[in-house]
Amino acid sequence: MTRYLVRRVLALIALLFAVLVVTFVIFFSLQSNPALKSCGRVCSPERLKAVEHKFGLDKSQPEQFVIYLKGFVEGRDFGEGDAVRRCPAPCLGYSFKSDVPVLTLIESDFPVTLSIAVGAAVLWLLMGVVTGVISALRAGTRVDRSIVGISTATLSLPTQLVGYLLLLLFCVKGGVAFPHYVRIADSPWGWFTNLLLPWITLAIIYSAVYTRLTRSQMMESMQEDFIRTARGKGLSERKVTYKHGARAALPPLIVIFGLDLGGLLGGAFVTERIFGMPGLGNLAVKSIVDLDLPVILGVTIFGAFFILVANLVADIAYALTDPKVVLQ
Amino acid sequence: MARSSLALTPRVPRYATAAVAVCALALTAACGGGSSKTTDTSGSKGTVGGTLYYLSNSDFGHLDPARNYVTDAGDFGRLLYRTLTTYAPAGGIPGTKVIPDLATDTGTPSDNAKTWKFTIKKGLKYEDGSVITTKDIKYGVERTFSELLPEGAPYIKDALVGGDAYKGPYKDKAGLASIETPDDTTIIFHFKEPFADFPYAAALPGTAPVPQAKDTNTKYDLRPFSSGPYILSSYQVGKTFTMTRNKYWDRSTDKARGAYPDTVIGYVSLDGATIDQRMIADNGEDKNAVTFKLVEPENVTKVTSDPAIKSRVITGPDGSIVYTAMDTTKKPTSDIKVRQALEVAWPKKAARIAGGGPLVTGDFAHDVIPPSLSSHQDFNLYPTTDDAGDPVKAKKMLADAGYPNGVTVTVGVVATATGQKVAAVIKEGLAKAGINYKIQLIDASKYYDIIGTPAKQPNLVGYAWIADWPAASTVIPPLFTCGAIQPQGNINVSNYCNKDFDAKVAQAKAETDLKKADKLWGELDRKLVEDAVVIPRYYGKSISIQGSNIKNYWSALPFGGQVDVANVSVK
Repeated sequence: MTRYLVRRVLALIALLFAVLVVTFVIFFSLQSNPALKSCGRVCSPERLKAVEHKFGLDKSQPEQFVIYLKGFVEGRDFGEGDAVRRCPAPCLGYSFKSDVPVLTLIESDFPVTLSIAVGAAVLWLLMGVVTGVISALRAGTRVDRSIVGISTATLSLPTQLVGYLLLLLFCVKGGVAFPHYVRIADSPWGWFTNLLLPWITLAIIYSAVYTRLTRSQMMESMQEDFIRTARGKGLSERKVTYKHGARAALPPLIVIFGLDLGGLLGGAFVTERIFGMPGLGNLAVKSIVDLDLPVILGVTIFGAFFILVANLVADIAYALTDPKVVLQ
Repeated sequence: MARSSLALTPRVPRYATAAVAVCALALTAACGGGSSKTTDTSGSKGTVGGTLYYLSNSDFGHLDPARNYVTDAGDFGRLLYRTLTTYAPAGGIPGTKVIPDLATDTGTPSDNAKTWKFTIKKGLKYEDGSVITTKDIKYGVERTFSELLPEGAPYIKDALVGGDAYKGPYKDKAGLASIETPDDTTIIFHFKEPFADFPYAAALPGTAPVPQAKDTNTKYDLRPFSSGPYILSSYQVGKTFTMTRNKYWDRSTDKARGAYPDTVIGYVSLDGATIDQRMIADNGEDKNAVTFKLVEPENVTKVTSDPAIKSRVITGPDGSIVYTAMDTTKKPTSDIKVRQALEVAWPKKAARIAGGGPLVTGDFAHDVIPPSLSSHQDFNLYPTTDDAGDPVKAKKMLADAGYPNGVTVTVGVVATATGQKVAAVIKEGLAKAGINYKIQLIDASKYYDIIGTPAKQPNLVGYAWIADWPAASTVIPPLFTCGAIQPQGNINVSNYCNKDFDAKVAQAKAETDLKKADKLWGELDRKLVEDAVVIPRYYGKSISIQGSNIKNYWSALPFGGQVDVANVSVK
């Protein structure tokens, strides 16, 4: 187990490094000068040079890359003299556009993304698993066919369409207030009500996969010998279904749930934009438009980190829930 | 001041720089236009009370007065701080008049407008009840020199004597000698050159008072110390803000601000398309909402044709000029005769239709100074029927100039659907005149890098500009003088350099008699069109929707046609 973990963590670091290199290379292939973004309205050559120097853009690309990595461990200073800005370790860079450390931007926007992702995940898991179990237990009936039909339809819906339709239905036609982000610390009720529509949007999109997966897994596991044995021992149908049948159906769901949640924690930019939620997805889009390389790198690394960690956690959880799997 | 936006994102209002950015792309997207009204015609005056909401798809660039240089922040900055002068509370041209704010008048010039003296009103107070002094105004201007706070308008700091060497109050504790404060109510500025427009420049946020004891340098952006009618009581950058009343602000001393709502709440992370839907739906608190965001081009027809929505639409000039600049240094546009033929051949009418029509683009322009400035003169040196272009005449002009087989000109076009559509129409129109219009598609993210680098830029590039204040001195000098040409980040994209022209610009800048100055600027404007430096295309317009409870509103020219938030009422 320990060896497995060490191996996976090393692989995770290597992958993050690869993501960093690729993002760096893509950005510099744009051949655009990001210093112009901070240079001001009338950009004199002297001022441009000063801005390039401040952000280290006057150095070669490999040098900039090494400095970036060093900054992650030691922190970095941007500018000189009285105009110096400190970016403490782990420094993910300094935003050209916003004039603050990238990590500050991520720290500010991550709670929004976390709120959206966790709430949506709870909702889609509940919706997906419950409908999947019902569908499996009533396989072949109208209920089953309806659930399968609806999940097939929602699976193919784009997030943008679902989001705007919900806004149209509830806010434009229904008169419900349009949502905006409220911090949970400021108002737990406001936080909850304003996040409901983003949660429902994502749950509609994501739950379809869980419905179908739960259904097929449940139908398979309910045919297994151990289910017959459990019934033969005289256990109630409820216990047979939920304690034995559902548990056997769980491992594949955990894996896919881990990946979905990990991906969402890196930002759900379409949902965030539609509902005016200033999370990491929103930050990523803005930084791409602004050519704000440090922010692009920071958000990419942060998102990749969550996907990789979620993948690892899902694998471990898979092993814990399925006795047949041994981590080596 | 100016407003503009990137075609990729809904338009972000800005002062000059950003205006350039968006509206140049707006050649391909939208520099709003409309048909409704520029001001509240209900006859209702403001009533104190209620909560005003502000919906935006972008946060303010900076609220620190030393760094505040975009129209949305400039408009809201007036809620938090007062400046030496400001603009009259009115829509249209009357709203471009400079009036005293902290000062008792709009300043007294001497020494050929190289020295300006102001006296401020007595009894003006900050949010803690302490008295505003001219030393705080001096300190506020000095802060604009700091390397820590570089984003503000450059006009005053560039003009002050000793400004070249001064590094701001954090490095130089002695302060700047060219700003004198003989007592707490008097302030005197000494400039290197005559600065006839200083009363306008003094309306920019840079002259807001900042008490040294309250200065938190870069963190001041998050909580400016209030001298205006509101206090920034909470601010989550990029998300939301709340402003509440400053009880020490005295209405009787302030002729520019109604400051009617008790509270102002802003949501600044919204989706542009969603803002349109919210404003159209007009539900709940959105009835009390204002937005600066221009109506999306696809919604313009709907909002200007539905009577229920149209009554809430505000439209008016945004003070911008949208044009195609012709590089005067590269063949064949280095030849004035080629440029003049292009002026004649240019199919303005067809291009405007392809761009979305007048509601989306604006009115046809024939010069560089927009009609919202007093120096504007009506003339059209290259008239064609309905502005459709005259390819036959242009072809003859080219043949007479020694180009019987026509010419090939390269053009930079932002790679958007509308941009390409407009370019295709222009290409077709110019082909009839024997002009091969060679399109170079440029990604939006690289557009300003490329056109701002003279070595890389094609013959023709789209551009737009809004004056930093309603005078030609913030249009012609930055865009068309030799000194404005830069190897990167260039905004004189015609690369026009004419020493005689520059000498006359200096003369106009020094002229303190407004009528004489306007005449000089008008002559310079005509000279630019005679020399065919640019093809003027549109005078930009803004169009936005307001909530049904919003009263006492108007399209404010000094703020790019946005609503004057200091005067709207929700009751």
